[in-house]
Amino acid sequence: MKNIILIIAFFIIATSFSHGKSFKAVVRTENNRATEEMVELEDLVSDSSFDGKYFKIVKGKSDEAIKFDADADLVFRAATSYYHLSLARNYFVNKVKSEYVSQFEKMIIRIEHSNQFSELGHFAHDNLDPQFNNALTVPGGKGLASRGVKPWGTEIWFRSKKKIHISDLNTNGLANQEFKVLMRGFRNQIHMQSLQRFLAGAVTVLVSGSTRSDPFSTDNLIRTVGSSLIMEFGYQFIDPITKATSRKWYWLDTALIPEIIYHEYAHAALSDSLVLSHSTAIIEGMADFFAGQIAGSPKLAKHIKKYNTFNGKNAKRKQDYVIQFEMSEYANTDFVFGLLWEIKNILGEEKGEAFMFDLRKRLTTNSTIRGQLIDGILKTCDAVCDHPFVDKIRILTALNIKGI
Amino acid sequence: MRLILVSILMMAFSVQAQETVPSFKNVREGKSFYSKFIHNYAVKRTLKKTTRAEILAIYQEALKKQDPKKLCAYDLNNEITTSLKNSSTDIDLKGFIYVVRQENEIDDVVAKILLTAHKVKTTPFMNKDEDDIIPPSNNEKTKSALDLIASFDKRFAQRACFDEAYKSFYSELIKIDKKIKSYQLEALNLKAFQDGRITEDLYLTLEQGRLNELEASPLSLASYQQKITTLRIQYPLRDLTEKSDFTSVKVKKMKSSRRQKLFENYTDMQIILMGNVIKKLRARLEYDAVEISGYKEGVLQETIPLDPMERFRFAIKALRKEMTLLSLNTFFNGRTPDYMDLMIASYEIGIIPASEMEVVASLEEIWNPKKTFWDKAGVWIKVFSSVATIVIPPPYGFIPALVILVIEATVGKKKQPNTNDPSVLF
Repeated sequence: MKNIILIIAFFIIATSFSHGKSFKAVVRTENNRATEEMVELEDLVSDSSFDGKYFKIVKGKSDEAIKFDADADLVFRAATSYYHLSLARNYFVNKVKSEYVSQFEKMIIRIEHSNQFSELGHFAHDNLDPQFNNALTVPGGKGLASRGVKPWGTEIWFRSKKKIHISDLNTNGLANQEFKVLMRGFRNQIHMQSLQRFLAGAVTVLVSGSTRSDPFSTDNLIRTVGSSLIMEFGYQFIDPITKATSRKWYWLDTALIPEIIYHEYAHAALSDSLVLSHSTAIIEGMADFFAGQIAGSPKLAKHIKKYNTFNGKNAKRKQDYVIQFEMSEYANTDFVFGLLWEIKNILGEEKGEAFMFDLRKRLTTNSTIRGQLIDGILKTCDAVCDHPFVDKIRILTALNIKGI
Repeated sequence: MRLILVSILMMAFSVQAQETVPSFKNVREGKSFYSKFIHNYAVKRTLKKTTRAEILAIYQEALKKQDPKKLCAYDLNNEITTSLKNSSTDIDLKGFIYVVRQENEIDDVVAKILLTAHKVKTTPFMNKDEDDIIPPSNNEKTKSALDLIASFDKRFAQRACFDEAYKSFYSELIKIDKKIKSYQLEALNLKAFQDGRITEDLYLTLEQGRLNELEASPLSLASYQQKITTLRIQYPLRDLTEKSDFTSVKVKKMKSSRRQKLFENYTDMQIILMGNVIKKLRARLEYDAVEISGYKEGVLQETIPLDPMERFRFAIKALRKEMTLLSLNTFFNGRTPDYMDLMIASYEIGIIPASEMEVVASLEEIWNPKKTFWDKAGVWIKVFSSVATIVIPPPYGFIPALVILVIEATVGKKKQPNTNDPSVLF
């Protein structure tokens, strides 16, 4: 009798503190398209705000959870981020069996937060450049009692979206450079071809005295010089032409893109080894990989144009290694993501996932792709692979093709 | 002490047993090279007339009767044919051999030797018109050659197996006339028979040898047994159940499997040397660190550690160098073994297990990439497009130029992008 009363009491307490409530959120369909659907949020401990067992969604610098009856757009963002953060947490706790994640304290999630991060003061001064169109995971800090800054835990910050003209952006120029090299080849080919035709015709005229089409005739000269001029014009004005024909405005609503939410949570989940100090190819690539695993897709932040005009990432995009990938400016390219995804495919879905989670232990935030990442992959294979020798050869062969 | 004595006795017995009952049991090959439809049809036809058990009993009985010191495929085939005749079983020896192979009593190498012997002995006369045969000129060379043909039985065939005897005979014939052609030997054989210097049986036998180019026959049963015995003594098999289908794959432009080719072309010593090259490769692929050290007057000046991928490419480069050096080895007489030969050799002596064969073999793709259809087609399209850039007048000349550009950017893209990368050592 005593036991029954205890069970009923526990049930009443559990149900009263943990609510399941439905909200509109951005979700992915089976075809990886973005759609808005009603979703049920798990583990809410408040019946009036986004305060859950594991996450508390707040606006900006506030410590108060966003109320369910707040502005509809804010609730939409809060619900989407809460929902996908719960999915990400479940993945790390239940699928990857991360002890570290299961011991996380309640995480504060800030949306529409524009302050920069300060390692000492938590939030940088309001006058410093406000931040938009990105998200970041910040490491916990001890606070600064003398200035009234309280200690804080690991937090995820989603910035507001802001329309920015494309000309104001510093984009990764590697793809553009590749296109320019191709264009240069085409232009050289056309010029050489015009010259060859002209010289061949001229020699024929000089040797035999006549030819069916005189290269010195006005018509032929216009054709030959004209095609070269058109080509040269196209080549010299490629940048303004590209700008004129491409998208003009850029924005990114990070709190509404599932894969960005997974990516940020993955940073927190992997922070036992990959310390959240700065952005590097390794730390971003690893977070991308687990974001892809949670999303069940090698494509991140694609097909969601309403909230994102950024190109997204694709693990299956074929690209060769270039030394620039080691630099922090190129930390957000999808090269490492593609590399890790390919290794997972070599090892098999189940094994590959466990492999990557184990790999983090052999990496640091400052690891290089060519050095510690490959070394870590080989050592992880020694520890995890069923047939280390064979699997390592498969991996090394694949990496060799990528030009590493 | 007693234990040592028992061990010595057991070893002696096992050696004795090895000598008395020869065995060609398949212990390395997986799926047979002869497991194709046409061979299976021959097996089905054979099994309609008899059972597998009966075939195996006949084979084992015939094998027991063989002299282990003088193994001969022709004698073994004869013994089997006689037994089949005695048991009134009218079956084709080919089907019989396929069944024995299916039962793993023999491997593909032995199967091929027996099938070749069967083919030689069942080759009929060509029945050529005598007028079509150019008679040999009447000179000293012809006389000596005819004397040699007449002495075939006494000089060569008495103690040796037919294939070995024919090879010895042919090497003597070459000494008489270096440039002797098959049609000349045909005429000599006919003359020897017409002159009554050889019997019709011997005439047929010599013709069978000539028609099947037995002088170039790469492997006899005795030499295979000798090779395999040496290899097994030096490199005892660790896992008797290990078998690989990789060895049974047909070699391009040859009528042999990879393993058959190995034993037909290389001696036991060569196989060991080849296997050791792969042993080194395997060890290098497992290295945790590789460094380049620079010395001056014996004092270390600097050490450059290699990145993991540089270590991998170093292992491949070292392999390729050793493959080249192998051909300079006196044991190889300038013969250059290919990577696949090395792979099979390493499997034969147990360096690479069956489960790793495919993957280690795939390393060849790094320095010898397969050409796809578009790789080959791309070369031709580029040639025609280059001509078209001159022939087609402006402004349409951009079309072939564009085609060339697309080919260079896609098909012609290097499969090893790091070949000329200045940021790596290897």
